[in-house]
Amino acid sequence: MASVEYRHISKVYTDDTRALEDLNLQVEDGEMMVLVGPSGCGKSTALRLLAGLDPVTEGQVLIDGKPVNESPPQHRDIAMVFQNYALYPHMTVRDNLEFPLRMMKLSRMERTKQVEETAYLLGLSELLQRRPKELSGGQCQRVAMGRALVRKPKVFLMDEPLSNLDAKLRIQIRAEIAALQKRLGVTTLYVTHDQVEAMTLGDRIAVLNGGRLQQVGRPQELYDKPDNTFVASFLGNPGMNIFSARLNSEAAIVDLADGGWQIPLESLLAQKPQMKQYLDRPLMAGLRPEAFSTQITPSAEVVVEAVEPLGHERLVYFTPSDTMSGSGQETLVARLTGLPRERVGESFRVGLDPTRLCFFNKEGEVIA
Amino acid sequence: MGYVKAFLIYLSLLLIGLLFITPIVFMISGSLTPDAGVFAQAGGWDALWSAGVSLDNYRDVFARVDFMGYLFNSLFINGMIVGVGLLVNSLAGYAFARLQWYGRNLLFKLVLAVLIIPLEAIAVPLFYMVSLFGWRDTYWVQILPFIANAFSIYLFYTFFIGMPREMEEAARIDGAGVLRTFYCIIVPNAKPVFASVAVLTFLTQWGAFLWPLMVTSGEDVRPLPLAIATFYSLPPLQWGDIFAFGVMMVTPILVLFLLFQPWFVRGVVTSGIKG
Repeated sequence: MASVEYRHISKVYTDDTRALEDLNLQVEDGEMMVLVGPSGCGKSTALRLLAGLDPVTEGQVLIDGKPVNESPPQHRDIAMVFQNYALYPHMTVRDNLEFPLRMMKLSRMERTKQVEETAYLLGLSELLQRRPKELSGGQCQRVAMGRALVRKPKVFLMDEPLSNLDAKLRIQIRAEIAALQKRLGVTTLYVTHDQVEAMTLGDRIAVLNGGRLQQVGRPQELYDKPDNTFVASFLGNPGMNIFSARLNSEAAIVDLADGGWQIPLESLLAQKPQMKQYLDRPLMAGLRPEAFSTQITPSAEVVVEAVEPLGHERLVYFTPSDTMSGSGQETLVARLTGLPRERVGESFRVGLDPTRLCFFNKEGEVIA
Repeated sequence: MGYVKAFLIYLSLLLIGLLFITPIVFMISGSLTPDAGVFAQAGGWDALWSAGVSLDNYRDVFARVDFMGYLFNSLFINGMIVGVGLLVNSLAGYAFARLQWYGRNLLFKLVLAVLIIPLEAIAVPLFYMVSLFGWRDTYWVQILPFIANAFSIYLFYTFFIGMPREMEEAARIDGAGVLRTFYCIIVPNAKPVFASVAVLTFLTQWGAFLWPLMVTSGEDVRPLPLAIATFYSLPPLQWGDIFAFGVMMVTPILVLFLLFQPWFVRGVVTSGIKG
């Protein structure tokens, strides 16, 4: 096991694509760090730089405090699971698992022992004589994990390992990965674009966008206190609602969504005194869909655009009603429980929990 | 309508097949017919079946030339060209397809440019060069110039570039160096292209005539195509012997092709080679 550090890492590809920009990130020993972000955000690049598959343009990658920029992949003592599994098609499952051990020049006896242990751990014992083309997606995934685990690497890298599986299997393997990582305690970097995977798997999450690190922290921390509007709207399904806000000093109210909801300015400033400097300046507010409710105040009249029933709850998409028409607000979404009453095209009253509001400046950075 | 269409397709394929197989049947039949018979049948359809089965022509071939010697020369020269060529060209194709090195793109363009230069265009300067080295009348002069082959490199390149990169990266991470990745992971998954290149190279080189004629004079290093030529130049001109020689010369190619056919067809499809 080992710690990993990205120190001022930048990566520019030969076609001048800037994939990463001054990435600083520390992964603790035994930690599961999930790199998450939309396509092209640089998360896979970060993983490839750590694996040694691509050279670093600037900065240093350290494993256990030692710079590894110049070490080839085979000397870094890492293992990687690829999105498409990258199993060796001409080898049986046993040979696939044994390959890294052969490269380590272990004796036949040791190899057999370790392969069988790993196969047992992952439930592959019955499949050792099969070739990858005779396996299902889930089984291929397990073999790929086994090949990575078999030689007990210092660091375990996973590049979107679940994206080729169907939804049900994805949930099952996700739980297996989490349990395995906890049991073995291997430092793991896990790349995904799926924020649900990130939230459920990561000890900590690093959110990337456009090659820049947006925020690092524990999943709940990122969910509740996003550093910027990108993290706010990226995490969560659906993401955080972002709408306009104004601290109106004259009327002593906080005006949300252009006259939609109003809360007393005093109560906000009591809670968040640092907001004082933003009086009468345009701001953005953010609120999670579950912070809306039909039972609480302040409430406002809104028009239902769409309803998505999810069984135990429903997502209600709405826009400001007549009182706020012309405000140019985007559609907001509320996660509501209880008996469904909303009908598309009709208006209803929805309230929000002011304690869960986040405020962002016009650059999208969090204020409070 | 479907049946009629299928019937017409099969019929036309059959006719084309017959067109291609007729000369071979004619050759086999002629090789088994005494000389007088070959002339008597020539020009008519009855040339397609032998007048009377006799192995005299085959005996004559062995009596007139050292067939086994020529066969050994041809097999050795072609075996070396194919064997060493597969090693060299596959490595070159891999280096162009996967490795990052200075001048790679320029060199690859040059290799592609070489594709359009026929041997006849460079035969004379090449002849001067090998003469200068004192290589004439050797096996090596017939092997070395044909080992590195632009077309083979290109075929390997197109195949390797289409292989999933992750497999190689996985091998690198698993602890294999570049060469080990190549022969443990790439080669076993590239059998079709190896088979295609082997068969195509063998086919091209098996009938090589001009270059061996230029650089060799002694019988001991000359390949089969030069031996068959002696049958035309040394009287009496016996067609039966020429046919028998032809049959024996074509057989190794047919065996090779049939042996590698499944891989060859796959290789042709996956490499995007066209006739």
